[in-house]
Amino acid sequence: MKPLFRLASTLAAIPLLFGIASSTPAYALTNGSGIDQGKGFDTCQDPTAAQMQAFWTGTPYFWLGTYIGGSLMACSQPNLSSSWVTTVNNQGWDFEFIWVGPEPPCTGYASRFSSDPATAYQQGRNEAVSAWNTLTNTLGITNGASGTALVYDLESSPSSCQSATNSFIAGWDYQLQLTPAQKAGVYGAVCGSNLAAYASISSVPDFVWGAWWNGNPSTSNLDGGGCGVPNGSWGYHQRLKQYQGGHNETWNGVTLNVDSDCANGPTDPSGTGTYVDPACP
Amino acid sequence: MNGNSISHRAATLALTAASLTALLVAFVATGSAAAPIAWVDQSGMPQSAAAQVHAQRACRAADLQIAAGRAGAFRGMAAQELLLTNRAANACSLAGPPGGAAMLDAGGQRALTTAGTAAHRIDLAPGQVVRMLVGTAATCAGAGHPNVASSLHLALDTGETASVSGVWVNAECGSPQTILFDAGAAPAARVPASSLRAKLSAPASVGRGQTLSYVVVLSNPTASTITFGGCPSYTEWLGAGPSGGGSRTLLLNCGAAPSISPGQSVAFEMRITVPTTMATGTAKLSWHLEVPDGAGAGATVGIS
Repeated sequence: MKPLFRLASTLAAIPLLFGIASSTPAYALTNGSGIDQGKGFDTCQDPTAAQMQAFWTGTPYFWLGTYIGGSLMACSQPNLSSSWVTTVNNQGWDFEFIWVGPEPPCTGYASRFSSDPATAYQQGRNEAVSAWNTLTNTLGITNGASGTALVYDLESSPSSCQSATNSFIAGWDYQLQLTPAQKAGVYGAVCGSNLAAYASISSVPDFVWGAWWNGNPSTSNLDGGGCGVPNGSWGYHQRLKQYQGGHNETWNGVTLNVDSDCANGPTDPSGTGTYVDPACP
Repeated sequence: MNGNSISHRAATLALTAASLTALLVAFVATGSAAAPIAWVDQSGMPQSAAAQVHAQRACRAADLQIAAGRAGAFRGMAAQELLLTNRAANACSLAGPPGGAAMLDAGGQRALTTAGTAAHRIDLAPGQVVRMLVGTAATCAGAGHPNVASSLHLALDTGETASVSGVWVNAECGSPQTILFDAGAAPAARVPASSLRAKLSAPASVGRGQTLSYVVVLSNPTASTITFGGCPSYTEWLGAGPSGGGSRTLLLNCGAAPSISPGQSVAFEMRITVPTTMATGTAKLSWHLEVPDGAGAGATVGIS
């Protein structure tokens, strides 16, 4: 049972009664995910299809960290649509979908969740519903996006409000893990977002995407020198790593400002992960 | 013997059925009712590279439409997006992100500086957009009590000042800094074939030294017939990474399909030879149509 999902689906259908924006996408990406062990990158704005084609040919990259929404998504996304996702997937790309909603209450972001753990938990569930609606309605992912990997972007998590953050992430995980379950992920700095803490909350993320810009692409290397993810946590193809922060890369005449990533975990859609980059596991 | 013979016939029938099924599946997968149009080995011409923009003058305030974009979170900072569009008829340049000041709602101001990685010149074609992200530290002791600036004053290279309102820049944990300064893609001069979409179907694996035969389906998602004004070229590439692989540009054999009707698809057979020296393992295959903003497709293929 996904009561919030049912409510959301009903609400999503209401605009159709008034002839506002059709929710039937012309293109559909297959649901599900596969274990990817290759390199990827992410950019603030999802690149154009032509830019993605240029970054496919002759590059080490197989997947794109793709911002799909949330109140704190920093860049506008004129390219993002079901058509774009399908076109880019047809180019050979896999995806790691990213949702950037409110951040912890003791930070300086424009949108923050409650410092009350019970409220934060519900807010985490609400964000999961919004993200799921984007997957299924805006991006047209099939079969209720069952098995699709989806990451919450937690940019920071100061210890002074860790309790609320734990509740928020537990709510996010819980809601996504209801049938039709998605793969619930959390992105954050291995130390600054206190990723290790989410291994012991009531609903544990299915995988983590840790940022540690030490230039080592290995997903086994997320411990942050002691303050990050212990080696025993999320050890079964449940890790991605952002190992280099913002820098320009030029491939085939196209320059993008990217973060570099490695996967040893789920990327979308199903059937991904035929390539193993020895640097990533 | 008899049993063996029956087994052999059954095996043959099963194999034939499997082959037909595979063929049928292949054609259905391509979305085309007919067999793919045969491949021809005829050299094509790569599309000329888009000319680099070289502005002869600095952008003036009147050239730029400056809009507040999203207030968000990026690379650990609170970020405010600004979108600067060149609305002039010719190209202009920005020597780097404009400096200036964030005007605090509570009074006072904070200087806007530039992070080293964002300090570079951008030449803007007409209609092209530059994205600026103004970031501030998002965490500090006692954070959670924003000290917000709702407007920015930007100092342009020409000595002019441009104001942008409706921003959310929180200076409670530090002064603002431009952390990203990035040009969007220059508008391309599209042709009708730019609207085509491509999908590629390739076998899961192929041996070194063999010919990889695959199918590209071009479909027309528009409401108008797309007519090729002469067959366009395409470029295909097969390789395993930045250091290997090879590409070539050939002519699309579109003589039998000089146009594609709305909603229709046409399948084209493609071939590429796998070098005997190619490394085994997973390789990338890519294909793109050599027209402005042309369709592209790709897949991964195992090399044995």
